[in-house]
Amino acid sequence: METHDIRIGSHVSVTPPNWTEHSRTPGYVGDRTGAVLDDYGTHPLPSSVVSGEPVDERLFSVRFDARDLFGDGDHSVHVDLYESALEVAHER
Amino acid sequence: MSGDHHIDSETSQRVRDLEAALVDAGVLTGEEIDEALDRYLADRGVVTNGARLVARAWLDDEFRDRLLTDGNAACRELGLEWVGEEPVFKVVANLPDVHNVIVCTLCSCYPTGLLGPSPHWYRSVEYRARVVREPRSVLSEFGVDVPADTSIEVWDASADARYMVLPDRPAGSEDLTEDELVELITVRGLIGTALV
Repeated sequence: METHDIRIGSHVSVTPPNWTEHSRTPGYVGDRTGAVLDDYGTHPLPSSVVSGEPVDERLFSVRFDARDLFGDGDHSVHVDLYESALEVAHER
Repeated sequence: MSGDHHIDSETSQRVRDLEAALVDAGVLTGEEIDEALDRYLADRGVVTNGARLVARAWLDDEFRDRLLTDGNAACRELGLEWVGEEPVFKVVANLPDVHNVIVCTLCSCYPTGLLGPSPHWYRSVEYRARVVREPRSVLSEFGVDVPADTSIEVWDASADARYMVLPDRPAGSEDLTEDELVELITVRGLIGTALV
């Protein structure tokens, strides 16, 4: 993963959520590609909070086209995702 | 929305069962639960916290810019305090060609510490599932017909950030005072399921 490259404007793809972990990654963005619109700083990763040893991670606001998520729709959906759920997407 | 009463009653039953289990197990007392609710409900005007931010933004362009850049700082500027832990607070502005709407698809995350408890429909499975998928239809059911050339931005509050919509100032409100503007603004306007 090249999470160190993620910044506002990056195109990122989302690692599908592991349902055994408390990732707070909505299933509908798994394997989808979006654009980072905002950087919300660092927050304790939910799965690490649950395990009792909180680890801070960067949290990003990522914008997706509905068409890319659902196959149709002319709207956009913004989802907040921790950096460990994201990879830089080199190709669109 | 129609059809959410059934979901609601199921949810209510589940909450009552959970509450009873926690009390039976000695984790919480009924009094502690009531105290926690009272802390949120004591100030029935908490929703006016959001309306105050909006009204000030309508009257003061520089405050509007600060509110949209850093919602947390804008709250402090108006002396508005969050109950409990303060999340990242992002305010998104409706524009003539952009309409925003807020949801939490995973549960029902909401800026509760600033606005008080969310409306019951916001927590319904139906709203949470449908508004990300078909926002135009859902908004139409709320009586908001978004023109075809207006883009819709859905904000899924899935993690540590909480959202509020800054509605567009309605026509005909030019002569109103800040207090009168506050009276115009509804919770649904702050979520995006109403225009104001």
